[in-house]
Amino acid sequence: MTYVLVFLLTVISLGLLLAVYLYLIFRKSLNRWYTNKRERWLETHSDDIKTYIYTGSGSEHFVPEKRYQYEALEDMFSDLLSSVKFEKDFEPIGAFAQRYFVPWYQKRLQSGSWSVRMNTLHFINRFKIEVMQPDLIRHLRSKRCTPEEKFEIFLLLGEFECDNLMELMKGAKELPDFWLNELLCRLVSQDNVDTYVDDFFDYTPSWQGAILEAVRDKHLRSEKLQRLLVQLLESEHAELRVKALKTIASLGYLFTIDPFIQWMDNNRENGIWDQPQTDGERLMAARLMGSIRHDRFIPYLNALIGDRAYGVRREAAKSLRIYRQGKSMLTVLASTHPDAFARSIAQEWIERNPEHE
Amino acid sequence: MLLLFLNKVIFVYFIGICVFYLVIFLLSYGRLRREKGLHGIEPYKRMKSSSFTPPLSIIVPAYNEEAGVIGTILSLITGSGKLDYPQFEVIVVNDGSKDRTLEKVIERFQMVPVKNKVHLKRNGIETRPIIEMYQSEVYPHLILIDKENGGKADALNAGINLSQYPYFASIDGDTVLEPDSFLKIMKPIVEHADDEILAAGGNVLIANGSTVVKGRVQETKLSRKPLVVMQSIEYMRAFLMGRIGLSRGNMLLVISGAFGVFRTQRVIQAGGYKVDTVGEDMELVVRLHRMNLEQKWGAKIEYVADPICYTEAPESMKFLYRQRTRWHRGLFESLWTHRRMMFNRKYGLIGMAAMPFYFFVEFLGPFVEFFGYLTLIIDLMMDRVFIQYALMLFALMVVYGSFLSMGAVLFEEWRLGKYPKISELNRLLFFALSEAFWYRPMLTLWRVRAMMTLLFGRAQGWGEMQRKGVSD
Repeated sequence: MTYVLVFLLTVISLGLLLAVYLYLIFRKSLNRWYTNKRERWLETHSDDIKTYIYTGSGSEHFVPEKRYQYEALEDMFSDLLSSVKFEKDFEPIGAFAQRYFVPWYQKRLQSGSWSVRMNTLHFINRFKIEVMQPDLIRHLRSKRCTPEEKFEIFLLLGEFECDNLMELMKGAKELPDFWLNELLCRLVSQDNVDTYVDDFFDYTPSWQGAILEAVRDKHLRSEKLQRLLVQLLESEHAELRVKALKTIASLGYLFTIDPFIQWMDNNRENGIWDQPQTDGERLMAARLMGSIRHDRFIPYLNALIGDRAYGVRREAAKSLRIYRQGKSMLTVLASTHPDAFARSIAQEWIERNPEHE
Repeated sequence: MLLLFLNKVIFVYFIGICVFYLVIFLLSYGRLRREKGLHGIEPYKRMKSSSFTPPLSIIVPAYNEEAGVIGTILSLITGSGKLDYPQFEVIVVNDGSKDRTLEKVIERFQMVPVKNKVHLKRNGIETRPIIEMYQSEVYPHLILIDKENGGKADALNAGINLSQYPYFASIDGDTVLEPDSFLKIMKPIVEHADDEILAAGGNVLIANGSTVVKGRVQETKLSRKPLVVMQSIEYMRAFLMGRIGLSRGNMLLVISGAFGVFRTQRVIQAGGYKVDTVGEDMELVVRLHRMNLEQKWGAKIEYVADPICYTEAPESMKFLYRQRTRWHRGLFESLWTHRRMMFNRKYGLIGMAAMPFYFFVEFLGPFVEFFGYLTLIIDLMMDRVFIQYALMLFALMVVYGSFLSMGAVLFEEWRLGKYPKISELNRLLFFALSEAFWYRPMLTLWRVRAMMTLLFGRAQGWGEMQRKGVSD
């Protein structure tokens, strides 16, 4: 009985082994044939493609029909977009993609293969094919659409300034921070930042955080925004307080420093800054005081250089180093500060250049 | 009677292993089939240009790596092969090398001493004393620490102490990376929707035989040396089948020291790498799993198939033997340190499946196999073998093992496609078929010897290997 079982298992394994081997031979041969064909096609049409890229005309000489032709052009155009910046009113690649790739992409969005659909979404993004919005929304609603595809589509729709994006996002899985930050960077601009500020407290905490990240990343400024950032220092959510400080530090501007100093005084007096949970806030406050240099900040930085958290001490020393008299202030601290850690970090930053950090 | 009983035990054990590997194969198959055909460049462009991609500290511990260390650093920081990652720092840790590792790095990258030493213990892990710290005048994000010898784990800890970014990567001194390796390995960490990712492992390929120029692989080729081809097959099986399969159930217990990314804060929380073990990479991963489950972090450890790093494999029996006995010892030490997790329901699949798998299959497997060879010889001598049955069993072992190896080659073709030539495929098949005749018994014997050495408790260090260097 066992003998028969072993024999059967051997035969099955042998069959599987042969099947895999033959499949691999077939696949490798096919890949080689496909690559050669693709290279030959590109070679044949290279002059036409070049002419089209320079002049924007003659695309009819290299209209793709087969898969390898589409893929060859996709890769070539994508490489070009990485290295060449076209004029605003001359975008031959976008125009070509819109003219010839759309039917191909419509078909590929229906594919049963997840990889094919993902590749398609990446190229729609690459070539910014705005006319595909309805197809994207249709795919978003299909059962086949996976969370990864949804994230890509939300970003694309954000890029295309789709009107009902918020509606479409309702009920969908919450976007991870990275995606949300990327999305908000596409949505928030100098023109509409005040609208986001007005509705700020209607958004979920993760959206609020992403709005602040977008503001920081794009260096957006407005009076309303300034007021919001100062107001957020009193937020009950620690993460928002840290992000607000980080945003102010990055913008390097506060219309008045009094509320910030008042906030620091309150934190110190109430013992809030003695809690380890506020390490991040103290660190960002130290960074802010290096970014917006003001003489009134110096006593606070002198205190933070003796903080128990290494990161805060380091940031305070780095901020002091940026001040005009930073080096001499640190030299004094290195010999007179009552705290040994503060003296060491001051010594360290006398020698270091914040620009290299 | 006893031998008959043992024969049956070995048979059941053999079938059990076959079933387990088949399950792992199917799990990997599911994931890699889904990813088959995914574009190799486009999905990573967003991360590459985003200011929200978290910065990364890359730690390169080096002990007597004068042949490979320059190539490794070059592959990270300079030239056309420069690492494609938005923001990173490179921390090379010279762990008291006896060769010219330190001098070579100082000369090549114009490293100058940084006088202050405040930040050397900023992340609070105790290490052997630091002799000097250097910063490159040409590449400010390149740091070199020269420290007293304390082993690889101690060197990594010194690097962690200095790392300032939320994630750190550990790579070996002889590792050669592809420019987009870190973008690829960080993708699940950056874009993950649900759980925190504690660590992610990437794919390790063997550099021997390939053309490597200035720290960048120009052409991947399969070596012509049988010992290296066998290791290539082993690596494909281990990484593309074993690790992917295990990671699908969050059961991955090993992230290769040659290429892995970790969440800095969690590793500091865990106390860094354990220094008195030779299997520090596995021990850390098991400890992170343990803390994750005990402290309910709800985190995961991932394995990603497409990020690639190349490493130099031993070409001589002597160094391969050393490497494998060190690995086996490391495996045992990790399992022994965390023996409380074994068959403990509190640790879920890690305690009930992964730990037993590593103990009974990976650790005890060679012993059982060795015993199998031994009983076969005794039975042959006593003329008690049903030859046809024994040959059939052996044939099954050869064919099934080769099928799994070819399965791993198939996964490589789907996801990486680094070996396009049919002649290379034929060589892989030939050596996969030959494995049971020479390579496997040889490794079994070495591992059994490693188990014996364990009984005598002889300590091992870095496990020095004569490196030729893979880069021109």
